[in-house]
Amino acid sequence: MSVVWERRRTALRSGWREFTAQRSGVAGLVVLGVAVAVAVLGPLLTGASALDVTRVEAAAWEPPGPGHWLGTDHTGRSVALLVLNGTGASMLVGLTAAALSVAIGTLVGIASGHFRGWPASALMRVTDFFLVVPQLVLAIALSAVLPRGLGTIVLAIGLTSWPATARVVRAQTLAVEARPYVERAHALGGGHLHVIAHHVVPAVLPLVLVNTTLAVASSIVSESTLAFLGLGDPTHLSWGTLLHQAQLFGAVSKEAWWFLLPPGLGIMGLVLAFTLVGRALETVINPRLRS
Amino acid sequence: MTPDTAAVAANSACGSHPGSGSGSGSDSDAGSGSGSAAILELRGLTVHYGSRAAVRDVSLSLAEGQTLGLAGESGSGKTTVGLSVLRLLPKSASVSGEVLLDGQDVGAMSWGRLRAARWAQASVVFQGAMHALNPVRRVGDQIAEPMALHGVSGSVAELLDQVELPAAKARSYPHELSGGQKQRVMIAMALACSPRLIIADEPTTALDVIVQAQVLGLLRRLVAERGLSLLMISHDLSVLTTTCDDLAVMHQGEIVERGRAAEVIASPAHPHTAALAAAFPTVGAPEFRYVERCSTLPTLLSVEDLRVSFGSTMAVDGVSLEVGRGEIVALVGESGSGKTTLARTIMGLQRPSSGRVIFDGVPIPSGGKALKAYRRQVQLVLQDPSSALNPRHSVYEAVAEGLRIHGIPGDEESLVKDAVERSELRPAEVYLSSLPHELSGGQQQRVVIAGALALQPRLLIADEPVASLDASVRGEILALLLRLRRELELAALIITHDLGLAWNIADRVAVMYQGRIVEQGTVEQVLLDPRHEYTRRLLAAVPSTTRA
Repeated sequence: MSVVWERRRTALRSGWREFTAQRSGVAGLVVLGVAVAVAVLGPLLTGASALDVTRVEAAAWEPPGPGHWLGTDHTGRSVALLVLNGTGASMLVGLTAAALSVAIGTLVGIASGHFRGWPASALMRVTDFFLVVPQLVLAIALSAVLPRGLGTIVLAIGLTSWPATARVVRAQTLAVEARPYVERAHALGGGHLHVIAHHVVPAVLPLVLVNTTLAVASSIVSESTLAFLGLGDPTHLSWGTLLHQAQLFGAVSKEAWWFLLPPGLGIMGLVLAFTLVGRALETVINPRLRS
Repeated sequence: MTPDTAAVAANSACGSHPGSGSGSGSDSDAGSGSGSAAILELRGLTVHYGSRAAVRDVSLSLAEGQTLGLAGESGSGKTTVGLSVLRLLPKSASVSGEVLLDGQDVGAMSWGRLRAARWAQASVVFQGAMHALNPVRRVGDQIAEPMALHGVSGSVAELLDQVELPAAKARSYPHELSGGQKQRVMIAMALACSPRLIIADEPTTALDVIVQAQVLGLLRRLVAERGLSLLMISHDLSVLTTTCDDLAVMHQGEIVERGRAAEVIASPAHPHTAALAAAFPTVGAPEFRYVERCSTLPTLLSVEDLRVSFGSTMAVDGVSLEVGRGEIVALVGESGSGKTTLARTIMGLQRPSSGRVIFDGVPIPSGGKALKAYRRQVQLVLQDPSSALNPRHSVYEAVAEGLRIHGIPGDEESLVKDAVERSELRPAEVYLSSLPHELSGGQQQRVVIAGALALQPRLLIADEPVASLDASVRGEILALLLRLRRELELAALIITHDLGLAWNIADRVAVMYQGRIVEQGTVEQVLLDPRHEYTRRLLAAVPSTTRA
């Protein structure tokens, strides 16, 4: 089967060429690379002591200056270090929540597209229900009920944001199932599992991939929203938590813009990067979008 | 250009149909130096897509009221020639040479002039009426669209009447019409601005024989009554000879033969023309009958009083049919006659409402392992090979698919190679790693057949196995089916609308009409001495290259 792998490698290579031809996608990818590096290396470089409130020496609410070039927060910790350390949590929650939501969406989408009759309709009605329920309210309700922690946030976002993926995947599944080669597979004796594994999933996968990158972006925003509302994990620092603290301890009244702006810009940059990469990938798998 | 000026320009152009504006037409003719009343003239037309030449140095002229058939296989460049007349080619095409429409060079026309010329001077009946109509607009509005764009007054009802459709159909949506009716709508649309030249690109492909005969008759009548010039493009020589006086045969972008239709058919000078002509057999002519008669065979498949209903419609209404071991039975009928539903029911892909299908003495199971085992014995070959193969699967994977499903023991690679070589793709190694889009239509169909053969079935159900293939490939696939029957004792139920195909290779014929089998018997009985009224109508509608 080396031929198959050879072909996949060429396909991958030409896909990569398509991707790199789009400057915005490459820019997004570079930003993502930097963010990942910061998320992994940040905590290692700064060390735990730098953010320990009992050991900080700087005064509270100090504007940006030498030593702490993004100022300090209400306890005197350096905002720059806080933002660097928050990258990891924001990204982790964004990625896992997106993975969860895309996994549920793909499963429901393929199942409701492949199987006919009442089970499929029932699944779609469930999807519709989640689609019309205000996502944020449901997520708030979930994270209020469940014990606090990063896992809860991931669950709250993942369980509320899958319907869009399910819809898209179902549409693609229906399109593939209508093709004669699926009829041929049935005629050859193939059952549900065969058709799904060999014909539906490979056709749906590129779409799912793109959907994931876009879902990560929205999950990061959702995480920040929940954390800003005070529903985040108090033991982990994320950009949303920083914004929550800034709001809680009166950064606005102290005109401490340096505490509000950096986490906000971080969220924006990361979301933009994921969106750019997602759009570029979309163009690679869907040649019709190429201008 | 504002809509108003466009309308004015179009108005003046639309007025120049026979009678009112012939003066200006002959003026420009004189200017171009041709002298004759050629409505369309191609001079050294060459079209490149990238570095590939689709059309090479084609010169043609079409006089007022002349009908010309342009024949050729897919990829021969015939459609490109048709589209170049109204400059409808995609941007990637580079055109050289001249296209003179009414003496004016289409390539040099301004955009506004070109818009005025489109539809008003020449219009197109596009290939595949199902896709050329907008599914969300009423057909009446779509027919009226060119008239509104060109500011011509006219009545949709009158146009529909001309194409023999009731005026009430104007309020229908395309999906509410049959294929023939849609094609009539397309013709009505082409007539909307009273053009003098109609370009018909495969106007009857995918239509049933009887409907095809009606549409061709309609085209012939309109051309004669209105004195239109017709450029008809088709792969089907028999269709062209029944409609056109002259014939030009294209092969690999060049015109290889040109002359009066009857003469070209009777004594083809170019081997390609001869190959094309052979693909459209004359029913009843012994030279087109490829099988020797065989004795009665023990029954392999028998269908007993089968009924399948969808809601209140009876798709299959009490059908009884038998296929013997190693026998080729043709199931003939028009689309909607229930023949595909019957095939799906025999395959166990559709549940019957009542009746039984008995295979080798045992009623076919309705599900589970037994049904899977049954499907090893009976294999399906679909109409369009390009869509019957997963575009992501290589030939090897497509052929091995059945083997893997059934977990057939043995060396997979040698089984696959064996099946591929049996389908006459030799040497197999060359093809195994190819993807479907890298193969021609005939090769794709061989891959589908190989995938079926890998499971060593005893019955092949082929739904229009050659309908979407090129003429020269058709004969090869038919020969393959016959050889498989001879070597493997493989029985086949061939579903087709093509009586010529039945005459070519079938032992017996069953004629299906509105869910019932109206006539059944040996090929000679049914096709040479038809008993049922419907069979007679079918036979009468078959276009024939000999114009019998």
